[in-house]
Amino acid sequence: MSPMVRLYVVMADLGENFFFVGADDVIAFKPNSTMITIRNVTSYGTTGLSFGSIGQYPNVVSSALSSENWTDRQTDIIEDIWIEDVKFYSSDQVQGSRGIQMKSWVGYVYALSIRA
Amino acid sequence: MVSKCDNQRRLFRLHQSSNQGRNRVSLPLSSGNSHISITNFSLTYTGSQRGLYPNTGTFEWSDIHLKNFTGNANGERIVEIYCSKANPCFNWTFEDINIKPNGTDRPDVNYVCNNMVMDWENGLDACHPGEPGYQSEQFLYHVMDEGKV
Repeated sequence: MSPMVRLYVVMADLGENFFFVGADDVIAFKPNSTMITIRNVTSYGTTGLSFGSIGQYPNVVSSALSSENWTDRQTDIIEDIWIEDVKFYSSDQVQGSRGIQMKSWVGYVYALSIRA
Repeated sequence: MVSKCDNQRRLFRLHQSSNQGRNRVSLPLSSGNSHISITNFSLTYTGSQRGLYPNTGTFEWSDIHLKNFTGNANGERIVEIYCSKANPCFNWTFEDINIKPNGTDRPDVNYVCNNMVMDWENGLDACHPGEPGYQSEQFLYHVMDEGKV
């Protein structure tokens, strides 16, 4: 089952009185989720509110940003997330397994790039 | 953050590696242009790679604040945080965390924090380094095997 909501580059006050029943993430903050407020979420049988996975690709940059400064161009961020009033319950079919989970990738890379 | 937590096996979970058996395998491709640097690679994820390369992640998890959590856990795990040695977590605070564990056999697994910068302001004194995994995914799979998922 897919997460109910996947968020990309959102700057909004979008989640109010949200109701979820399922077996995966209630809400997943994917890379580049910023300035988001979530309120009054009730969920049954979920793996929780998720941050990530993030950090999958090395040197991820946004073509929309023109800064020469490397650190300014990285899009692998999840920032300014405010969450309040969340209730987690088991559903009839599945126990809730997590409330909050955050996940980033391992750093090992076999071969990043080659110079021809 | 104001949250209620009922029948949750565990409240927080932070792994620096994917817990879905995903790890990178990259295959560099060739380029005929001697003046161009290329970064072509493909990704393959297999279950057998699950859990490989722990502590290598460099993503920074910081400025994270968890407040006012109440409820009952399904198991004895309440907090499981496993940050990467390559970039430990810092500036996390916990306030009013009141989750009751289900059971008293393994109080050592209640609050586990690995590679996290802790100080007197952190607010979760009980958190200490420990083995991840106990009552973790295996527990879920067990539940799934029983056809409850």
